[in-house]
Parts: sequence; structure tokens; C-alpha cells
Amino acid sequence: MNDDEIRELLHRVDDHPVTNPDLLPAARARLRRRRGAALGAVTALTLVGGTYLATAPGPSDVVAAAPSPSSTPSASQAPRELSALSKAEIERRCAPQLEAYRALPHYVDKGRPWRVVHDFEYHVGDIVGLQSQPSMPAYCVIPEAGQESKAVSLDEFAPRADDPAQLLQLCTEANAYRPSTSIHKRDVPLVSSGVDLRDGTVVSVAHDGPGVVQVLIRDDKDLWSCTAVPPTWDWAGSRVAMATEAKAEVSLEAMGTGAAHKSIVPGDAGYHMGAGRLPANAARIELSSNGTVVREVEVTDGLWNVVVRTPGQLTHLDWRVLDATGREIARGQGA
Amino acid sequence: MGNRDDEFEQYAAQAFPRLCRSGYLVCGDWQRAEDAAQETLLRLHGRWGRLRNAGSIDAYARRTLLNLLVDASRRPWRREVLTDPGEPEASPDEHRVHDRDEAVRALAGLTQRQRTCLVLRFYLDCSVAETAELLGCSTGNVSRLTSDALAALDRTTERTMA
Repeated sequence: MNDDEIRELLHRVDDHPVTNPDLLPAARARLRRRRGAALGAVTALTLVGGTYLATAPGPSDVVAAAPSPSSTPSASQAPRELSALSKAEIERRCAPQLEAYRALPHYVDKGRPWRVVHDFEYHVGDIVGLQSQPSMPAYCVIPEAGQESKAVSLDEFAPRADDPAQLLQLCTEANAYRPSTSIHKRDVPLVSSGVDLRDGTVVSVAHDGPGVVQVLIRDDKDLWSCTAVPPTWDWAGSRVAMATEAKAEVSLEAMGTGAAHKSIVPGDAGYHMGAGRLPANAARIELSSNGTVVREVEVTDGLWNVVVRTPGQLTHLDWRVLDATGREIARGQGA
Repeated sequence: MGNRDDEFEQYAAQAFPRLCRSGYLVCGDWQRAEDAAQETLLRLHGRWGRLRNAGSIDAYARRTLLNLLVDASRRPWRREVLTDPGEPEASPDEHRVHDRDEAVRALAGLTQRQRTCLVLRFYLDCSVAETAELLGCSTGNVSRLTSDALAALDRTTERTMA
């Protein structure tokens, strides 16, 4: 089959009639919701042209009334703010939202002002990270002017595995390391300028129950491994590390929850997570604990991504990298 | 502001059918493809200014569409109910349906990655480098995926002809 024949075959299948929906009212409604971040992290359902779109509202989310596809914006709607906001303006608008972080012991505040961490361009509705002093960044959804006092639930910043756009925003605000995939190694220098991954591509997502989401992201030139955790988890925040270089190594980070690990997150459990690039002949990874395989991870084009949650105390995981024939390529011990 | 919305509407009108059809070719489900196309455009609207300034609207739309379809489900392509291929004296319309069903059956035999690769390369006319970036693999792997997919299609069509 040559190139022209494959083109012809693809066009033979695409003959389904398509009716263009009027997307603008729904797009405007979404923009208003994002800007207001009103009503505390509304994850709304939108009815567009008879199709039901959902962004997986969590149990604590508020579900807003669906706008009619044919509705038009009223004159009373707030005017749009199209230009990027200054750091000072973002800090002013976010200050009320950040009060919620005072209740969390892992956010050191001591009355110091919150400062925007990165020099990226931000607009109303974007998630932005702020710090009061060297500690994990707190998140804020930049509210529209006049809406600053409206509360935003911290649940809005819990990573959602099915929402690539949210993951890209959270990972953009994460502490960034380079050039190793070993994000737990303290000697890896911090990328002080951060990495703007908001226009990146989510290559893969891994999770094991709610909470931590491991994301593999590609931007214009590099591959990044991001561990996204809810801000309510006392795990020193989300991190992102460069993972461009292929290594015959499975670098896993290990963290625990529950009283057994002196964590404020309820439920004793251990988590191992990581993502990266292995040599191209790698086909799968075996993770084992005390000689028992606990997880097999498929490797696609050298790329892997995993989160393993084990109840109780954290234990060491051993790893083996195998090729398609089952031959061992590398082995080692994880965290 | 009106200008921004006008631009978006104009873009959405010409892009929606293409996104739907591309999405369908990737996932094999019209409903999911339409949902993903709508969600793609809604997300694009929120970042319109930034993307337009960067000249990356099409690239963002393609990436978002693929992210939505690949992340939402790893289910295999749905096998559609086929019309009876042995029906004699078929009308031109019936011939068209039969041709389409053959194509559907051929594409259903590919892996999602192979289908996505073909869609990017031969339906959206992406370069090998763009395809590699969107698939998150090397250009060499794009060539391998393409040749594997074409070989699989050849096998399917040979079986159909036999």
C-alpha cells in the first residue's frame, strides 16, 4: 500500500456528517467560571450541541448549571482581561485564597508576604504558584478583579489524572530539577527559573488511587518527569525533573502516608513513583519486594511511568529491566 | 475582544470537522471524537491570545485532541457492524458503504499507536518530526510504526481480496 492509497483509505472512513456546534457561548461560560474560580473550584458540566462534556467533578466540587448553547452573553457580564497580569497584581488578587494554606502545617508562613515563584506569563484563570519563604509553593487560581474574596477549595489543586491541562499547569509550578531523573537526589541543582510546561504534551499518566499522579511530559525539546501531589499532602510539593536522556536505570522516589510515616495524610501506605526513558530495547520493568513481583510496567519506545501504592509500611523495591525476549538489561534497588 | 471571539469562531468552524474526523480515525468512536474535538476547542479558546501570538494554534489543537483521546481510554478501536459484503447487485451507495466498511475493518486491525501515526502522517500531513513529537517517540520509531501499519493493512486487504 503506497502513500496515496493510505490517504484514500483514511478519507474513505471520514465520511460521517459533522454538524458544527456553536462553541462560543460554552467557551465564554468556561472562561467566566475559570476567571471567577467562583463558588470554590467549580468543575462545571457544559452542554454543547447536545453533547455532554464533563471534567470529572470530584465529590467536593460544585456543579454549576449548564449554559444553553444558544445563550448569548449579557451586557452585565464582566469584561474580559486579555493581557498578562503583573506579579504584584497576581499577589494582590491571590492573597485571600492563600489564607486557606495557614491551616496546613507544612506551609511555613509566619506572616511573610506571598510571592509569585516564576517569571511566566499568567492570565486570569491560570493556576499560579506562590511562596512565602523557601518552602513548597501554594497554588492559586488567579481570580478576576473584584472576585478576590471568593474561596477556592484546595481540592481544585489535587492532580486529576484525566485532565492533562490541569496537570501541565501543576507541573509548571512544581520545583524543577535537572538533568537527572533522580528527583529524590538532593544534589541535583534546582532549575530556579522553572520550566513552563503549559504548552507541552502529556505523554503518559500513572496513578494508583487518588493523590499522587506521575506525569511524563514532552515540551519543545525535552522530556520531563513530574510527580504531582495535592497541596494538602505534606510531601514537600510537586517536583519535575528532566528525563530526556535514556538511562538503563529505574529511578524511583519513595514516600509514605499515615502515622507510620509521620504524615498528616491519613492511611498508612507507601508510594513508589517515577517515570523516564530507558534504552530503546527495553520492553518492561519488573518491580519486586522481598523477591515477589509487585508490578510489571510496560515500556513503550523506551518510555515508562509508574506509581505503586502498598498498604502499611514503606518497603524497598527492586527493579529489573527486561527486553522483549525476557532478557535482563539492567537491575537495581529503588528507594 | 470581539475580534478574539470572531477569530475563534472562524477557526472553530473550519477546524471542528477536521478534529472530529481525525479523532474518529484515532479512536473509532464518533461520540468520543466529537466530545474530544469540542473539548479541544474549548480549551483552545481559553489560551487563544497566547497561542495565536506564538503561532501554535494548530499544534496545540492536535496535541490536545490526542491527549484527550489517548488519556481517556486505552480501549481498542470499536468494531463497527458491517454490511454484508457478498450482497449482489449493489447500488453505488451500497458499494460506497462496502468500501468504507473494508477500510474500517482494516484500520481496526491496527494498534492505536499505528493508527495515530497514520492519521498524523497521511491525514493531517504532519512531518515525520512533528509526528514523532506528538507521539513522544523518535523519528526512527515513526518510520517503524508507519511501515508496520502499512504491512498490517496490506495483510488485511489481501485477506479481504482472497
